[in-house]
Amino acid sequence: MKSKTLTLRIKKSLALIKSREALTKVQAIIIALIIIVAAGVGITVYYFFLPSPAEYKKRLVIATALEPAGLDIQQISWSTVVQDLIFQPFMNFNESMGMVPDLATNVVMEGNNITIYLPTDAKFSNGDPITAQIVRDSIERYRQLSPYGSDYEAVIDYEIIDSHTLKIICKVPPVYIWYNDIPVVYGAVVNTNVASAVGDAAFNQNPIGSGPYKVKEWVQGSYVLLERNDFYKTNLPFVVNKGPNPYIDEVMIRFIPEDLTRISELKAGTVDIALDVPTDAVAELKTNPDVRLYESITPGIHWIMINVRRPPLDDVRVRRALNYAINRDEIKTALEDTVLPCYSYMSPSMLAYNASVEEYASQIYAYNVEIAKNLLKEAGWVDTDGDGIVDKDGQQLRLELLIPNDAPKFKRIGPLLQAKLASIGISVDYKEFAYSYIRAKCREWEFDLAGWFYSWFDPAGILPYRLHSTLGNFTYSNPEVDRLFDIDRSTALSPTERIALYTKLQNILLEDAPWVPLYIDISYIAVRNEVEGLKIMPPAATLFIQDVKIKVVKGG
Amino acid sequence: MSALLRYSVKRVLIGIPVILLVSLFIFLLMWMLPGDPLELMLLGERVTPERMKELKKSWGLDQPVYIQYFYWLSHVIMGDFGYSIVTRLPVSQLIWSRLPYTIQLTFTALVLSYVFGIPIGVVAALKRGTIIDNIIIGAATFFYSMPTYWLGLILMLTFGLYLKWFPISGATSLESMVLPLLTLTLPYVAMSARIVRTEMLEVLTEDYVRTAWAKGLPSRRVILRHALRNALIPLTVMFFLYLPWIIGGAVIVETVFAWPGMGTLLYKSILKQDYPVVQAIVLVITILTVVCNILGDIVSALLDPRIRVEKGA
Repeated sequence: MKSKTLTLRIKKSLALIKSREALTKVQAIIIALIIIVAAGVGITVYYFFLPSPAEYKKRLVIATALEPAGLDIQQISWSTVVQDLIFQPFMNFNESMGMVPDLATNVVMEGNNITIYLPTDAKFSNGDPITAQIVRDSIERYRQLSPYGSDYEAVIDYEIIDSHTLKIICKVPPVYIWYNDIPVVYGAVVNTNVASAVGDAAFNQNPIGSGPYKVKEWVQGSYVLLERNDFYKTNLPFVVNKGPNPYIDEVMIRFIPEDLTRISELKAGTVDIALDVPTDAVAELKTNPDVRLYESITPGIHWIMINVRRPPLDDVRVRRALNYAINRDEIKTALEDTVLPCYSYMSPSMLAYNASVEEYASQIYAYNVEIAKNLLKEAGWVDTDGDGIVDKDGQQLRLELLIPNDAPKFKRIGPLLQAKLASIGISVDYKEFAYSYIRAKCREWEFDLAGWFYSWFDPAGILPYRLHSTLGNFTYSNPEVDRLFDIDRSTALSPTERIALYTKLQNILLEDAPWVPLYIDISYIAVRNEVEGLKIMPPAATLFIQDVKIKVVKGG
Repeated sequence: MSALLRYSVKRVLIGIPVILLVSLFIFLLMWMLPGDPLELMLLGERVTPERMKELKKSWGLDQPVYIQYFYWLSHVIMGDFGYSIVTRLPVSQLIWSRLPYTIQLTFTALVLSYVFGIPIGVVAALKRGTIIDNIIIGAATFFYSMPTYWLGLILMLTFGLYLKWFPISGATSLESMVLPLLTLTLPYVAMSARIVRTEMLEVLTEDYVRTAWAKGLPSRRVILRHALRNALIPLTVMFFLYLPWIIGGAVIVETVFAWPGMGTLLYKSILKQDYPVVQAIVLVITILTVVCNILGDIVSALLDPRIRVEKGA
């Protein structure tokens, strides 16, 4: 019955179509035109007026100035955003710089041991399981291979409690490892089985970690293309998506050393995130409606290192005079407000930072030419012949100032520093060199004053290498400072105790004045508005792209 | 021909000590540069002085400079350029990964500069003193005098950022080659055009060209076969002199457009004091320069019998 009805309906439809043949050509053309116009209007309305389901780009493009020397975190000395995406620390930092689990479900420091608890289903990006044994092998490889291998010098043994729990046994409380390796990408586990099979050189080109992305292609000098790690899992509490990001299949990290080119790519929309935003571009990008600018206080300071063994700088009064002679606010203005004035030895983005120390330092070393001149006078340096340069026993006070010419901000303020020191009667022989040369000169104690900077969030992991008499002997030596550093590197102090320790330590440094602290850099990351869900975390402005989506701009 | 062969062999033999001397000079120059590659690499250092010494020793940087040089030279003779201090990769691998990009860019620019420069130069010479000649000479002077960096930025901002016709930088597609290629080509088109114009003006006044006109030969034949053929000799020789430049790359253009060629590799390696890479690239350029100079001489002798006679004498 049903089939008969259907046949009848088809016949009727055919008859109707045949009757349409009677249409004239003009009518057919008009109908065709109407259909075309309607379709055009429809498409226009669809694209420009009607809200539509969101469409997202599958590839995130990040532009940065620096290309990594290699990709294996255990073979490099300077990590980049590439390593942040390939590797996964056991723990990580949240907004308030508290340590939270990342790869590990938990990490515990007790006595002389650190115990790492791994998820039972943790895997590398190639699908290999992450076990306690491979974490142990990875640490041992780091000790052998990394320039920072001495981080683990306190380790004396390991205990594999079960296949996913590793106890690291140390000769002292492993606080140094706790702060400097457990929550950072340098301490992340690498697939040592693959590294052994392919060799270190090949592994440095295509390492296997457990981060959210893995290496697909590295065109040296141009870009690294990463693809999603489908085995990725995280315990980070501040990301919503604890697994692979379904919205971003690939991340392309482009290396564009020229500042103008990098920023132009961002403005053109061909790059989604630009790192290393130059000072010159900050003001313009702040007013660009297509871009958001993230500010981040870097975990370190810029300062002038003083050769405290070379007269007259061995006189603390002269060193203090230098501290009074520098106007940090003028430095801030000269650098277009892209830095913070700094009077003490630490940055707010560092662990154990105490704002009251900075406040105290800013009071005792507030810019004051008169105090500076009086201190020089006390030390016997007076301008006796009226030539504008102080002298003592017929000798003028002449100092050599070495400024790194490969640090743009430092280079920019170099002449200002020279002028400020001249204002208290010091003749400055101003010289610009590559930072590496300056460091090498300082290591050999062949300098008067030298521009330096550091960037590391844990004071125990950086300050001793500049101020301890054996770990980094750059002329300054104070047994009490050494003792305090040694305590912090070998004693499990609570965060409050650490703050107290570094307060005490900095107070000694402010008295001894082996440095002239100058400024703390602010780094900028420019992000296009289409990028949603990006999280940037202290201390080193690490990008977390687990929740990122990039909206496709229609009609754009 | 045997005289030419003798001459060529002599030039090759002279070339060998030149190459050795240049390599030694570059080695010493790099060594004398203020700085230390290890300090450069460890900018984020949390490294003790003892660890620094260990690393220096493991990379052979603690040896006296002459030992480092002879060690390097003995390996180079065996075809081993060693490893980059910065990336720990074989230097030959680094060079081979960059070379195609550079050749792609600079060789195309060189060919295009000839393809466009020659006819423009010929037209300018034939229209000497006219408005066309003035326009060509004016434009040629403009593009030849313009700093490459500035030209690159102007092209990038105009056609990349504002008009969005071409990619701003990188080497991700064929389109991304357009702007760096244009930046490189324009000044060289200008230079080729000026050389061709000058040579053509000289040749057009030669007796044999006047004779050709007098014989009633068609203009095309006089210009192409009699005048241009001889006017192109200097340009042909220059082609060989340019070849080493092709390998060296165009540092500024490659940096502005983030083009991953040899120029940027050389530039970065110098900045990072990556001795093995710098030495290898400079050595390759030196060898090419010597070889191309010899080739240039031979080709000019082949094209111009007068040179052959002089050199053979």
